[in-house]
Amino acid sequence: MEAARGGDRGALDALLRRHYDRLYAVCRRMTGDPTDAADACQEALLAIVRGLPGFDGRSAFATWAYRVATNACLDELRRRRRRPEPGLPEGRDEAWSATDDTEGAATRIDLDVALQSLPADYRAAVVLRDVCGLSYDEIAVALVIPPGTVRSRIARGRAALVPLLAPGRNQGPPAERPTST
Amino acid sequence: MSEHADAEALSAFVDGEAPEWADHVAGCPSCAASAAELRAVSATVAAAVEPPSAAVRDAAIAVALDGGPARPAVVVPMRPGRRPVQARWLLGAVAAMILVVVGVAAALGGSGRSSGRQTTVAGPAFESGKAAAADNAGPAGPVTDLGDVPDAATLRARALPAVPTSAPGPQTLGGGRAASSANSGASSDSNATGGAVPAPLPAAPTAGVAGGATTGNASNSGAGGAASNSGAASAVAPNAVGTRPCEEQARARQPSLGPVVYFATARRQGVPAVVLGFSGPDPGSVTLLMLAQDGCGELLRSAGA
Repeated sequence: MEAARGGDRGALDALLRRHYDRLYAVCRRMTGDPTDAADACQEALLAIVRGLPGFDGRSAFATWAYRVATNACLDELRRRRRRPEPGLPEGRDEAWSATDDTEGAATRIDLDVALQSLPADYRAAVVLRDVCGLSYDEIAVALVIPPGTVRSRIARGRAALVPLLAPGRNQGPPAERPTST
Repeated sequence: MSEHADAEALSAFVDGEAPEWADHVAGCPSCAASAAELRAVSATVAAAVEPPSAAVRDAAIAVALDGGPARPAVVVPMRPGRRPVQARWLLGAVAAMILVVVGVAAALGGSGRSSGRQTTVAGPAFESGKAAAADNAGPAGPVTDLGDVPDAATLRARALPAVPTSAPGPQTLGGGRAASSANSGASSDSNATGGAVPAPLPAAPTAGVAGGATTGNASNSGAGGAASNSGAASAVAPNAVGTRPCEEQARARQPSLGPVVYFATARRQGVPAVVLGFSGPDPGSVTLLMLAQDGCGELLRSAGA
């Protein structure tokens, strides 16, 4: 890490390679699209390299890197909203209508759609918890929000996902349960 | 705790952040069922993500390393109404411009040579400056970056406006292989979906911020808006001299390709690419090939008038 912070190219390369797949996974879940995820991940890597000399080490590198990736995703999503969509992403139109699609592909699409239906703030909290396995405190650091807000966002995000993802359910009990404010 | 756990408490319990609810959930079928549903949702979200190809990963890391803190910020003004180019392409564009200048210098120095047939454009960013200086006596101009090109129809829509309308006809090699990839008067896209409408170029954002994570210490330096002149002059005059690996490989695969009349950079799903426009094989037609910068593999093809 110190070598990478000092600008050692080999160390930087190794550091980015070690974390690339997980950073891409964050971007993939955040954006819901492989191309947008690759774009966002690229921006995140650039930001990490540029920001690494100033990384103070108060949080784990991974936590900081997830924060950078999450912000890159939010930027990418903002860009996506600004530009007109030429159509469904490549292959998605077929996937939507396919009846002989594999169950795995259908699950992926359902998950993408479900996650994209969440507010980005909720999605970020859920993704950092479930994809990255961060604790609530780490997510709070990564997203710069209080831990209580992390807890609330994850709960509300999951409550919205249950009826979309849980098999055979249209209404989920989390929505019926009292929610803390 | 006799009261049911609320949604937040149950979600936190599933995450191991509220262990005080363990006894209640263990003895409450309703809460246990809800917790099981939340675990299922969590597991679905956590399901493994298929990573991109090694080429995409390697390219992304290479660009990040080359765009690191030692590189000064470069801001290129955007042309209104054009698609903003992201930071990684700015670097390539700058490198390409440098090679263009080298090419002009070589031409002015009287080092031009004429082979009479093949055309090579100003060297793309991935080629060495030495090779460019040695081979380029050709025309120089700003190198267009077409941005992310998802399909052949989009490739054609973005590239064709800059292709000269008076493109030379096909070249005939000794083998005399017939052209087969283009239908006269129609376009033939190897990857386009039928009837796909090319994406219009979006309006550029007013601020020159094309992205870059917005953390406190991750600045946008170098990630600002850049020019993407998809309609800019990047056409290549025929008869320029020299060869380039991707052009050579394309010709090896399809000898009926005519002179290069167009050159640009682009990317497809994050893979850096060059776009070469060959005149022919039919008179007045142009074959656009999008080739990976790494290895010159064909990513997209669009042929037609």
